Amino acid sequence: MSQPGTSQPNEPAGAERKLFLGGFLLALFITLVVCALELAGGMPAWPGLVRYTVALLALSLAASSPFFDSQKRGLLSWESAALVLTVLILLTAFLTGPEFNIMLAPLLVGFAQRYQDLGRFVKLGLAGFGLGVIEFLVFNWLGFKSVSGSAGINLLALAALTFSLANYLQHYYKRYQTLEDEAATKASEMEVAHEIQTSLMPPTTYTSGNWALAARSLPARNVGGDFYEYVFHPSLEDTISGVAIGDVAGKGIPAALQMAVVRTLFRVEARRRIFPSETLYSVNMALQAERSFGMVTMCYAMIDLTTNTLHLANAGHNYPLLLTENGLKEIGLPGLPLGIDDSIEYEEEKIRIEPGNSVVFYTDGVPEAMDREGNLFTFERFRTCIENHQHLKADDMVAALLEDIATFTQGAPQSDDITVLVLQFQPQAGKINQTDQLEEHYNFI
Amino acid sequence: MTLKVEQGNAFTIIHIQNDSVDATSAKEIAGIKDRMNQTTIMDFGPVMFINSAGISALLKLVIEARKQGKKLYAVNVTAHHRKVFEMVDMLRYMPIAKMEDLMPLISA
Repeated sequence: MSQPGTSQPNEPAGAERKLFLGGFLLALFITLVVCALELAGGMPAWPGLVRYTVALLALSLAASSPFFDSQKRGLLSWESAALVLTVLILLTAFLTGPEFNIMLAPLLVGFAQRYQDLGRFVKLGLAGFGLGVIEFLVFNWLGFKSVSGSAGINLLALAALTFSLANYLQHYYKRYQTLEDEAATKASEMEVAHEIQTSLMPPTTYTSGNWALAARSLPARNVGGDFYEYVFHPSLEDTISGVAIGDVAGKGIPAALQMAVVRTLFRVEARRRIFPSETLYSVNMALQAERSFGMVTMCYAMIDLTTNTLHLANAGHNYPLLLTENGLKEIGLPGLPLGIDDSIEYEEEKIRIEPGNSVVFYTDGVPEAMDREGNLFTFERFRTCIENHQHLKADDMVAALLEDIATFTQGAPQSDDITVLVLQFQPQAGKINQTDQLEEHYNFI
Repeated sequence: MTLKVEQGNAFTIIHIQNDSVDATSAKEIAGIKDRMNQTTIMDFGPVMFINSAGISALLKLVIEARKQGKKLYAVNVTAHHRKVFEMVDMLRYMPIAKMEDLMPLISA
């Protein structure tokens, strides 16, 4: 089984073979046309070097896209190489005259590919030089003044040139293939990383007693630094007793790795059933021990199921929005993000939640989502969208809000991770009242 | 350079010259903590976007300023960033002011 990027040199891919053949036939055709014109006496002696120039340009065209994408791949542009060679050949022609140019053309091409194969460089150079010398001696002996009319020798020289250029192309095509294979492998790994991260996230919808939760997280890349967490009650089975949302500075793999650390620290602290302010304090202290750890914003709301009250602490995260029948209210609780400084004390706020109320949590990717003109979605627009969807169930509300953002951005590349979490209080008839069961677990509040 | 530092006898004005404060400018911001004066003003004039790396660098700077007993002010901050600064508690350490209100401090 062949490994990516290890194609055999003696088995050129179909595309390479076509390019090689195409370039060779094109050069042959140009040579024959020019030679025919010379033999017919229609052109002076000097166009011998023009022939090489045209051949080089033609070959460069044959070797151009879609097989080369120098901008994206960072390879030496084929066109640039051909241009440099053309200039060199023209310069040589001016300095030495057309005869020497014929000898030097393969030498120059060989020089251009010396990094690829020193042996081929020497062979081609010697072959070209040898051909030129033989041609010069033979034609001088025969009494001709110019060598440029020698169709056979020129054809050989041009064939060598073509061979050289095709090898040059083959070399870079292989590099292109290797890079493409590596990119495919990386994309595959990122896809797996995305699946792993998605599977580690809590479910996108969850109902716990009278509380409905819905959340979505859309990383800007395959993986991201946004996260949300449902905190399960340690004693009551399948009962949510808190929610958290966070945003690790940065994007991609570094942010994803740091996010995993923060989530773990948070889970450990949240299990202790301490107040949210203390939880954030403890997580921050633990993060201080981690060198080179970036900033993390986080909001944690613990639910007192006996009184339907949220105990909320915020470490620099976007203010949650409380949606009641009277409208939208921001739960303004400033706080330094985690990972910035040690010994930060966090304040806490208690919010009583009435039936039908929703609390919307979101990351900064929401207000800072950008359209194609660079306009921000803004806090104000997000608030308006929430108010427009105030009668929707939690899951539908999240979907509608993300749809609003998508409509606004009009397909512009996502600049930051986007996460929205909705916590809804939906008392339903027939639900077992867990209050009695819960009271003993909330004595600490 | 994304920052231009204007030094006076008792003040420093840091003009952010890019429209975004990101990881690149964050490195420069981290490097100016030793150049702060008793009164330091950060001018966010052209800034339209601040990412999390930029916020992180600014927070570390303002906390350092507080530890050094220096006063830091922000001027020309957009409404959006005013809100962001408020949420991350930056306004406690670097209140937003108008340049004309700070002139007495600069000219003193």
